[in-house]
Amino acid sequence: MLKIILDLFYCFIATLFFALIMNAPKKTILHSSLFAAVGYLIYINLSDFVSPTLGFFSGTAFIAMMGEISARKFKMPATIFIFPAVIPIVPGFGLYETMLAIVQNNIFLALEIGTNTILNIAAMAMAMALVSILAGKIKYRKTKMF
Amino acid sequence: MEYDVGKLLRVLKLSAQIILENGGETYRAEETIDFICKSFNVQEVESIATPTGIYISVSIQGNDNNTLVKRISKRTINLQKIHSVNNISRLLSLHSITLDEALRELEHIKNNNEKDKYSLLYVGLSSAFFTVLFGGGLLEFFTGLFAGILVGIISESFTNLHSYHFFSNTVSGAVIAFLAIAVTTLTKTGNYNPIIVGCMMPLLPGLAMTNAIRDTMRGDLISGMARTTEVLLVAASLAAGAGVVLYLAYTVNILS
Repeated sequence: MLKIILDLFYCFIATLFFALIMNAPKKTILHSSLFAAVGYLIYINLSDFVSPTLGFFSGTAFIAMMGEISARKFKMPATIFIFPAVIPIVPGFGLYETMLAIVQNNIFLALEIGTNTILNIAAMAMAMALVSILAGKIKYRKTKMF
Repeated sequence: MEYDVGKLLRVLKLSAQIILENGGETYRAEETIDFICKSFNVQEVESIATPTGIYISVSIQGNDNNTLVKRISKRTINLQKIHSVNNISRLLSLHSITLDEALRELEHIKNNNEKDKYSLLYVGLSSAFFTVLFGGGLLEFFTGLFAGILVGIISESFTNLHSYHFFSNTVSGAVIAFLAIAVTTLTKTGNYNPIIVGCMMPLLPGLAMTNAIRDTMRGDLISGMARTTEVLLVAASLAAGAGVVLYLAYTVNILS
């Protein structure tokens, strides 16, 4: 339990500074850090207890959804929220392990981890595409109704 | 409503250019162009935006065409600028500012390159907290902090270099791996893996990776391919830099 809270805290701070590097508008930084922490929580729990790919998918879907909602609220592009928030979920460790396996001349392990990593990245892309399509639909309906 | 076509084209060019140069998606650039043109009652507008250039063709009455091509050579990420351009296109479409004002504002946004004076520290702290997130302790935290600041200095001093992405990422990867291995071997405690991954996280083309797949799924094949190539270049040069150092460490039996 303590580990999860600490992880959330680290994730929050890391995303906060990452958003500062990327010159995010000041009033969005706290929001995107919060989304990053909650998304990371969803990702880590699902990938530990269910399946890693589902974890990547759900974590990214949550962040993208919150990004779209705050984009409507703040009248800003959704990317400004999603871009910093999604960084902790990007499978950096998988990419690194692939490289490590290649350096150790273990091509089969590299292929195995590499394929998994690419699948996970694809899951993230699917989640984002799905959410942005849905968000577009909702916006369309609203303008039609009024 | 009367307005100058040249000015409209310049506004379109600048807004699309700023979006593409600062990490915006290609469809955002195209949508911004369409959005502004719609509010100015332009009859025909076609635009193609790729990560390396924009082509805009505008025809106001439907007979004479005005075309503009702009090459994009430098790409960084600056979310504040994307937000500002978005804001201006919104104001412009509501006609609360004129084309002249918009042009002046856009020029100002484009040339406003002042950096936060603590930006090096931000890179360092971000790397350090990612290191801890991936299972590092106190030693790893401070190594990550130091390596992150070094990476910030490297990428800043390489900015004007030809083939910037390749060189800065290769050198950064090598420096990160060297520091991580050196510190953990000298102190004989700690784990070098979290340091390397943590420091690489801010450098990874995270959103570009997903954007590449998303662009391809949308049918924007050219920008999808271009982004995929960029992602592969950055990831491969990072891996090459770190990989060479790790390989050397394995061959001289520092690591086993």
